[in-house]
Amino acid sequence: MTISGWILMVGSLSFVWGLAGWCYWKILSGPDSSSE
Amino acid sequence: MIDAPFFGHRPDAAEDTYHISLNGCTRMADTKEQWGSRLGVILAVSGSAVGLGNFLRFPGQAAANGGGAFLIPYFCALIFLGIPICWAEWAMGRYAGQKGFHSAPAIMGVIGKGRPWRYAGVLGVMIPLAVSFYYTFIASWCLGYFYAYVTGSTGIDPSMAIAEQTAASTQFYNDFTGTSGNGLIYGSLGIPTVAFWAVAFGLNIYLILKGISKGIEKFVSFAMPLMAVCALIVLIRVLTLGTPDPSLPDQNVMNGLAYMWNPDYAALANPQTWLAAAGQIFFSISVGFGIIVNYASYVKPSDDVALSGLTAAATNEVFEVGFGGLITLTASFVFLGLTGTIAAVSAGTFGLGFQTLPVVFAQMGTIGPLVGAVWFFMLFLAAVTSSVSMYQPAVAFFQESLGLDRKPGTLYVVAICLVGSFLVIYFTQGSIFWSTIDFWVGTFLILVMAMIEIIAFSWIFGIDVGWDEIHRGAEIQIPRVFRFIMKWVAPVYLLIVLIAFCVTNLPASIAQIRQEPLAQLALGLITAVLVLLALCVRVGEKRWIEQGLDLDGKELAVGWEPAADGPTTDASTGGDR
Repeated sequence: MTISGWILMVGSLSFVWGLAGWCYWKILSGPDSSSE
Repeated sequence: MIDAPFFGHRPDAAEDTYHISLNGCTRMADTKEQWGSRLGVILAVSGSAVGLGNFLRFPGQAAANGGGAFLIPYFCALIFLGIPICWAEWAMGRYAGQKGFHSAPAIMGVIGKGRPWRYAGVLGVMIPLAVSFYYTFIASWCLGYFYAYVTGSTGIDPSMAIAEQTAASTQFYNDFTGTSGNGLIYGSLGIPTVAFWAVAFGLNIYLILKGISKGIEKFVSFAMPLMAVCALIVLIRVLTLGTPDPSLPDQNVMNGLAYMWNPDYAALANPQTWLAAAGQIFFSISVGFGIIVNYASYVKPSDDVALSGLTAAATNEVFEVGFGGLITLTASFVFLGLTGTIAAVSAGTFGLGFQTLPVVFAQMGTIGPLVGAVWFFMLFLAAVTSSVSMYQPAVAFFQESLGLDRKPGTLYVVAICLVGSFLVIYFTQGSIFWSTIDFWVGTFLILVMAMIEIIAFSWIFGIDVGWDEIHRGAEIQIPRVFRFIMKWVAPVYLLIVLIAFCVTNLPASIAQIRQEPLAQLALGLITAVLVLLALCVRVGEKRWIEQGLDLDGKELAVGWEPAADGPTTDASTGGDR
């Protein structure tokens, strides 16, 4: 695989996993409205 | 951490009684359904978005449009089109839900402040309903393939030459889906297919009948994590394949990843690449379907939609890029090589998924049937979490336009779907019938509906009010540049995509309609459904006026006031203003 391929693959995977991880971290550390 | 389990649902959540206040007059309204938990609605929207396209369509589109370079226009479309429209849909749904509306026509009437938008909103019911005609049929293929792997009846013998295995796989696909001729499935050969369709359809209707919280939410709460586990199992197996045949050293995992990810930057100069990327985003995250507005209308007025919408979109991207981008073509390349994989990609989504991958699994040795079973079970879960979201908007529409309870509302949907599905399952030759519905409804009209939504939200409802609505109860502060994106960039971007799509595809599609009676029949079915739904809107209007509901959105929702400038989350929880 070329260096560009590696950069695009690792960058894309980091972006989607990072974004999802950050979102779920925010949700799990925030208030649960269902228990209000 | 919090005490309440996120995957549980509130026992009393399904039928809360609420009040509507209009012009100072408070009165009791219908019983209202709500999501039991916040994670429940996020998983439901994610489940709606995650479907076969994540695992089969995305890698094919990427490989055919510049490999890794495809991800550049893809993420541009996600940021400038997908996520902004997603936020708009969440906010519109929650806002109109507060006024007691849950169906796309009523919601668009409130947001667009008038009758024309209400009738335009009919698309938000017709699109998911018409797509469900064939989508549930495809879901039943996944169930049938899962069963075939469990019982060892795929008909593929790994000891045969690859060409013979491919022929056997194609034969199995043709027999199971009836693509060789019309009416084949209603013969004795098609009994299993019809049986699997009945199971898939019955499961969907059962979930719909159980309701938002006890049906859909409960199902996605175990289906989504289970789907992730299945995807992880297959991913680990694929990435540890190494070089299975030492006599073919080029056919290894690294070269498989290279086929998918090595960029061809020249493709970025081709408008078709940008069009394909935008199209993939629309297919993928369920915007323009009328599903998110319906689901969001059951969110409580004080609940966050900004972070929830972003989380649902991010979850979909994990399944698409994180799993779909690593599994499908890599596995194909390792066993079928460059030529076989190129042929698989050119065979399209279903050729890749239902004809090529079974041959790939057959090469995995004794573990192959197990991997195949896990794969198709995962696809079945993905398909059902999507298909169930296609019935719900129509049920909600019949409930509120005709004044029905959930059960009779569901019966209306079942009756329409039986007619539509019967035609889809009968006219299977060459897949022309349902491909026509897929093109006009599942591709063209979702772009139109998304355009209607973003214009209504940003220009009629107003970006100022809309921006505050998104941030009401929000746990994140969306960067202000997205205000500009939602008002200007997304509509213009979408308009360009729509025009390019029409120029590229419409002439050939119109020519096909002129030549193919089956395509004409499919369009006739779509038109009939559209007219029926429009008539129901007319009936609904009278009912809503009699009930004193604010169907033209003349007043802001009760208790509405501009959101505080920033997230409502306490700073200690990480709120980033």
